[in-house]
Amino acid sequence: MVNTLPYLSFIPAHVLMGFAIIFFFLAKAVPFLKRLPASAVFFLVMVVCFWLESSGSGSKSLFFDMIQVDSYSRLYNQIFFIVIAVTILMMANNNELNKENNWEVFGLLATVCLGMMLMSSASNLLITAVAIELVSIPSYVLVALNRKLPASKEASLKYVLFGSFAAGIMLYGMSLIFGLTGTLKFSGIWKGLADYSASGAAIYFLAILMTISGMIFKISAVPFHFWCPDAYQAAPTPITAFLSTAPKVAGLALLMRFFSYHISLQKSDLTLILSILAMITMTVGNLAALKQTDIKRLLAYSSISHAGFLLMGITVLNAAGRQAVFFYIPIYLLMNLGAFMAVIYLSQGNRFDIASYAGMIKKKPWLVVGFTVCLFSLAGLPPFAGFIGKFYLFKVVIEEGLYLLAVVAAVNSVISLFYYVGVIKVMIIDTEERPIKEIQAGRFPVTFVIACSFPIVFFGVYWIPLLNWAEKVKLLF
Amino acid sequence: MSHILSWVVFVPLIGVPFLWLLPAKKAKWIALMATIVDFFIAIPLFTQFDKTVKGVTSGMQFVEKLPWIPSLGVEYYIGIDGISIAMILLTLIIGVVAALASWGISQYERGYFAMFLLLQTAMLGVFVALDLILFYLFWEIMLFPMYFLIGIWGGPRRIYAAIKFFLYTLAGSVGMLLAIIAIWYFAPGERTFNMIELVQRIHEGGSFSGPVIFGFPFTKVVFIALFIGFAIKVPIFPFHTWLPDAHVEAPTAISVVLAGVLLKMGTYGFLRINFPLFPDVFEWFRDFLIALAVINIVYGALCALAQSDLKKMIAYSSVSHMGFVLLGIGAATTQGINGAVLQMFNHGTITAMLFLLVGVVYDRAHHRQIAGFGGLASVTPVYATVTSIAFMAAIGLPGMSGFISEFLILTGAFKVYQVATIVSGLGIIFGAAYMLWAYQRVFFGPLNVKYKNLTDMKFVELASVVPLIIIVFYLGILPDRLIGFFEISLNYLSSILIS
Repeated sequence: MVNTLPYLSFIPAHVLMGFAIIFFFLAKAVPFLKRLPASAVFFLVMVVCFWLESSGSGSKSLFFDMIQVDSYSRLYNQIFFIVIAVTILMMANNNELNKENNWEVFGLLATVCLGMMLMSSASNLLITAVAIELVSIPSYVLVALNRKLPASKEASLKYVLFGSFAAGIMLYGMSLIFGLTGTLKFSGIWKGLADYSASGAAIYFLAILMTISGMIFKISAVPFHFWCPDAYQAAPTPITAFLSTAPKVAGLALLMRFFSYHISLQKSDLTLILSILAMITMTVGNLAALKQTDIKRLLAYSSISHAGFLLMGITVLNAAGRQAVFFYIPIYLLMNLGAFMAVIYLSQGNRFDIASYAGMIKKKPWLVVGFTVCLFSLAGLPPFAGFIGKFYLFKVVIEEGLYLLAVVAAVNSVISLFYYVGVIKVMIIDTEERPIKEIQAGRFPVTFVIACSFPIVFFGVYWIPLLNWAEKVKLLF
Repeated sequence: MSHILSWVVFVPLIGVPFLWLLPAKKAKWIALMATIVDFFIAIPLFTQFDKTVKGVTSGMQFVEKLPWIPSLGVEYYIGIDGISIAMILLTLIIGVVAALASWGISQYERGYFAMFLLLQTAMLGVFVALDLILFYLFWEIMLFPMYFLIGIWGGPRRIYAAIKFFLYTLAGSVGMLLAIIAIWYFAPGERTFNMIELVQRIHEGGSFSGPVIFGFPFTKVVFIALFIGFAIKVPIFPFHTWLPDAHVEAPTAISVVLAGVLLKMGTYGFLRINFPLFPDVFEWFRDFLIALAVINIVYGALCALAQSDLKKMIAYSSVSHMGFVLLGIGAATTQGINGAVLQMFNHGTITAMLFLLVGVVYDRAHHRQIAGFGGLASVTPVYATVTSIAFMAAIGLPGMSGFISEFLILTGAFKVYQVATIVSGLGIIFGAAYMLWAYQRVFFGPLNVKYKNLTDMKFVELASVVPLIIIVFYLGILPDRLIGFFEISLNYLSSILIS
């Protein structure tokens, strides 16, 4: 305890977040604090954390090499703060959540945030387990918050069971790794596994696969994706938007850091495992999405298939791949958050079936145009930024010579177009059925969606600013 | 003016915001003005074009080269040579014609013309782009406007036709994307996306250093991936099934654009990228390509003969005529390739006329069944005359441009593939068969009393067709006026491909 205090200056955002957790959980009991606007306070916390992380520099290994604070973790943390800030805005424009619970919700979100920040800096299996649980457990509660929907509790229970199952497997895998190598540090694990990987022992593959199951669960890749559609559908839409972006990014960051310590003779086996995982995830996500009639389930399966695409970038196990993933992430945030904000607006009255969007182009033309841009970008169509993101992923895969993976990804891109266009067709081509007065006035969601679509189009044509940002993400080796 | 080529490409896109400045009913004037202004801006491209420069591997004209994404080696590199100049002219003419043909659009006019102008920019961009990524971007950009144009303003089965077109073309395109990345990564010499540079390096003896992919040599795999992407556009049997649906269900003006320009993008891709980059694989593939061309010609003609819907018949006739283009390119002799590019231009103008004329009768009768008409010549003489000229042009009657291009192709192909050429002659005979038979059933014979009050062609409709008729006759009598533009480039391309 005595030795950790000097280190706290390296992780100011973490400290602030810790205080935020305590603040939001206890504030309701203090009469003076209870009257503060919770959303504004939390938003301010996010802004301050963002500023703290952007003004940090250098890299340091803290807490007995448990976490590694460097530019990689700082940039990923900034992404988490942005996503949570957008979630706060979404919650303010949405009535699925009971506004009286805001303090608790923000406390839970702060806990998730702290967990994600630990995930992005983890360099030890123990803190990985803690961080993943720190993200998962509040998420279970957040999914259950949609009190008006009975399915919400069922989805949350599915999420709990699945998450615990994945966490259990992960811990078992971690114990295997400890048994094989005698260390839990990322840097030590791969060197320790060198003999086992050279001989191709089954225990090596078992240990690695089981250990990453928790991370696979967080990014909702196959075979730990089953919770995803139910949880996304039943959760309040701002929470769905949050879950589909931030924890996924955190899981990817953790996976990339975990695998970056591998030694070269392990590369071909790991590439094989990850590429199979990526191919199956993309395919399952896309094929399942084809039949969906609920917009949130469709977006859930779409996020599963995007996890598959992003796994492609991790599969190549080199710096170019990590950069391609990091390049894709802001684009993914824009597209996904824009899409969910449009869903929040269009699904007022709890009508989440896609058919209820029929003819929306006539009532809210600019919102529908913005939503269409987000959907085309998710499908990876030029001239939108989603295409550029996929282009870099294809590029790193072809450079590594993984041709089957490239072909499978290309076929999946085409398949995914069908269900995205299905939504667009309903909004633009079908004639309307819903009476007009159900759509309430509200300028913020429309403005937000249009504000998301401008950078999507801009970056689709000129993406150097994003490239420059992605350049800054370099692990030290 | 400087940067003339960029202006030509982007003037339609610049016109899009203006659509919202005027009331919706006036949007069509903005679109028409944009296409006409574009045409006039482009005139110096043709008057100042140097017809003696070979192009293809160097010496591109009106070049503009700007760095775009330096870390990737992607540049904003556009320019024209003989291969593209005819296509630019075609796109500009079809743009004006299609804007006139869209005069009757009455729903969401601004959205329609916004998509239309975006499509126009994308098509022009494809023909001038000389950087592979820029080419791919322009190629893909025209997909979603086409989806909306067919899906919103089209016929009864428009949703099916639109998504079929979208998915089919996208499937070919992603294969093309993987091929482009592979070409860049395994390029001879320093990595670049510069098309012209790559063709020059290959011509000077460079070769792709790629590995074996799925058990096949690298060049063959990449060639086939590119080929399929372009073949879907042409369309080549068996990738042609999207065409009848898309053409029939699209509104008249979009059918004109689709048949007039979009189909040519596939064969342009062959001439610009696919064949010059892999001349040895082209050698290996040539026989098969000729076989596909003959199938296109004969099978397309037979399908046209079997149709009862006038527009679908013309759609299949497009398949057949594009088969001739393939025959000329596959032969790769100087007459063959010159004939092929001339046929690309002529088919654009002739098929545009055909679709415009079908649109005339569809607007009035609201159906296109050949058997549902009869004796229209006595009620609408102007329409009958114009349609007879268009049908004769499609058959390839001497005196009109179609004859020159088909003759050149058959001459060029006969040198190398005698049997294929003779079988293709069947296609011409079938072409005459279905065209004349359809004409006889629609215009001659006893008058169908339902249509005894049919109104003849309006001024706007005539204004869109007459320029095309003039061009068809002009090129039928003085074809060298157009061939002169691309002769030197294509002769050089032919020597690259046959060597």
